Amino acid sequence: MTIRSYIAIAVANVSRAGLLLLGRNATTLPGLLAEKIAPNLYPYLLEQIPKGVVFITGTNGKTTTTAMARHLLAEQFTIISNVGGSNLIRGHLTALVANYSIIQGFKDNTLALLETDELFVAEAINLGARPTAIAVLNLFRDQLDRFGEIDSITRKWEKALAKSPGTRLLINSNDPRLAALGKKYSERTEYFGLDAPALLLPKPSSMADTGDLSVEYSGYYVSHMGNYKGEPEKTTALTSANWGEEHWKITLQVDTETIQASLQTPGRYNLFNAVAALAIAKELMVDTYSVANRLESFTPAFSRFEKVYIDGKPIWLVLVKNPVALSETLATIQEMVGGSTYNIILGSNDNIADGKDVSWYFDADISSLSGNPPANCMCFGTRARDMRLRLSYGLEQEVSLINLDEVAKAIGGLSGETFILTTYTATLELRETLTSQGHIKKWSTHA
Amino acid sequence: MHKLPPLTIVHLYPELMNTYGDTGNIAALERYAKLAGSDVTVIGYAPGDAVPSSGDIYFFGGGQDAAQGVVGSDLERLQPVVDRIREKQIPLLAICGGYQLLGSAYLPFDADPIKGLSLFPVTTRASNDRMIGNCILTANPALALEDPSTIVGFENHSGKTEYIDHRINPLGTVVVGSGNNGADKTEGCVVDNAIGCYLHGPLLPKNPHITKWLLGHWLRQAGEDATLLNTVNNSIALEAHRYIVERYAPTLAA
Repeated sequence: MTIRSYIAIAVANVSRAGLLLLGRNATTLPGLLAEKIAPNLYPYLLEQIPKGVVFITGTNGKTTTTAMARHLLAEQFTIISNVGGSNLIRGHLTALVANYSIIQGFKDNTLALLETDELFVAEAINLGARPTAIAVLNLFRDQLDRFGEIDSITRKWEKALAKSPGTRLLINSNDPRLAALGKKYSERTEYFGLDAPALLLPKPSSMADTGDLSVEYSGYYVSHMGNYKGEPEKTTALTSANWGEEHWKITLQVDTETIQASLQTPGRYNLFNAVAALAIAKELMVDTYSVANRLESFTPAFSRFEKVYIDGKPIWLVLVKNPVALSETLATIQEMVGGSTYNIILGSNDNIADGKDVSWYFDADISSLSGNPPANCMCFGTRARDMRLRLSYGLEQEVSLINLDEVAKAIGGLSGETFILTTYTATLELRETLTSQGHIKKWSTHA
Repeated sequence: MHKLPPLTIVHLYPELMNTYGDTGNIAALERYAKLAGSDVTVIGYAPGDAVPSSGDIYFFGGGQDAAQGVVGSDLERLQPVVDRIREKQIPLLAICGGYQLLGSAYLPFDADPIKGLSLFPVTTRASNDRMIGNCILTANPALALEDPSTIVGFENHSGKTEYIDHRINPLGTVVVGSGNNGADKTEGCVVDNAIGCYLHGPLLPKNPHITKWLLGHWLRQAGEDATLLNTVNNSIALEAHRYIVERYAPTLAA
């Protein structure tokens, strides 16, 4: 390690301590400083981690899967993770530097579980990162204005993986585009996913996009993720799931072992997150049976069907940043309320982190709302009017516009459960507003 | 209510060319026509299907590169359809990739030109500039669109489109964004009752005056009164439209 790197780590840690003292979120600034001072620090630190480095990437479920994997493996390892969800180099570096001692390095049983932005995966490898494994969850259209097109992402991954021959791949076989990538590196790929015929839908829940791959599906789970002809064999599979009494009862198959477990995070996409987290545990050769039992005590991450109380009223907060997430969230809400009265508040912004292109509102399937429409529906945010226009295609009733600072007041007048669905920056703004208005004293410990 | 003739909308390559919410355009045409009193049928055309020659309005959206390749190899089969559209001045909307493929040619970096169907007298050349962002136009007065005088959308393309016949009409003049090529301030191309352009958003839900323009041409051709479309309430759409103009092109906001 160079003197420059020592200085970088010291500066980063001092800035982190300073930010924490000031009560600010120290998720990216220390990393930014370290990156500027010693650009080679990133691959160097990754290489020092004794138990390996796992990148977790994909369009949907990164934060939750990373949080689940942390929860499952907390007893076996000292885990370094970008808990705040800052998933580019700065977020990675901030987490690494905070856990590195210039004298002793990392602790012996340290493992890094790093949520990684889809585009940053290839960049990280180009910077010299050599992750032990990459878990790839799914690939949907998301913020296409930032990413270009999804076919180009898999091309970038393919090229980058050639440079990192030791990196193992854990791939969701239900996504045909990802399975095609796995087949190119079959000697170092293992697959996970759903083999639960009872959950298959005859048609995709929102637009199924497989590009030019001609895929013969036997059915769909979420969007284009399903079972299909030629799907690779999984070593970690979820074979059944039933939702009732606020949890999923699930059956998992790990190699030849069958495991019964339960999961309190609603929504079918959380089944994918759970099986992905278990595949990561399997890759790290921990006892999958005892680890699977820990799924039961996992509580949802930051605004992923997170239950909070606003002035004593239970409210569900859900981050929705793309059409699949919106379609699935609306369908999940229907399952949860089962015919009773409920309300929906949608917060949609068009800042860079939300994606400036809001065309995707029209790619979402909102038909699940028509059976039991919400008693009240309101929109806030910079693109509230666009969202209201989208909802008018399918939802008959009037949708009102409110301001961010009126959300808590609006909730006060509602009866039944209320779900607040927000894009990324609307999520942050809402949390800040609810806190500063004094409606929520304490958030759950997960970031 | 006066019964309007049935409307058949043909959606070209719906499975392959469906990026960025463009199917919202079909939903808008369908909604306005239904509310005005017409029974609407939407027919999808996939590669190899019987050629859809009986449409009243056609829609051709954008797609990912790979999908565009598949479409490119089927495209020739649609030449008779495009000939009929030109001859009978049938309304059509083509967005992004659809617009490019209905031009005379697409010129990639290091491959042979891809021949288009020549409905629009334009060629598109691949470039390294990604033109992404909100795009706001003042409408071309020659189209005689209803109010507002603005057109709003979101563009995302790297192909640069140039006119090869300068007598034709653009959809509008770029106030915010890049438009056809980022240089001449034009966006889109209008030939008779066919519009090609780069605007996602999707275009028609947020620009009800264009929806009515397309449907109005169909109604007039069917010998019907196009003002029937004015009975459709579009206040939510106009409010979204005006807000986008205020936010991104405040100088144009009335």
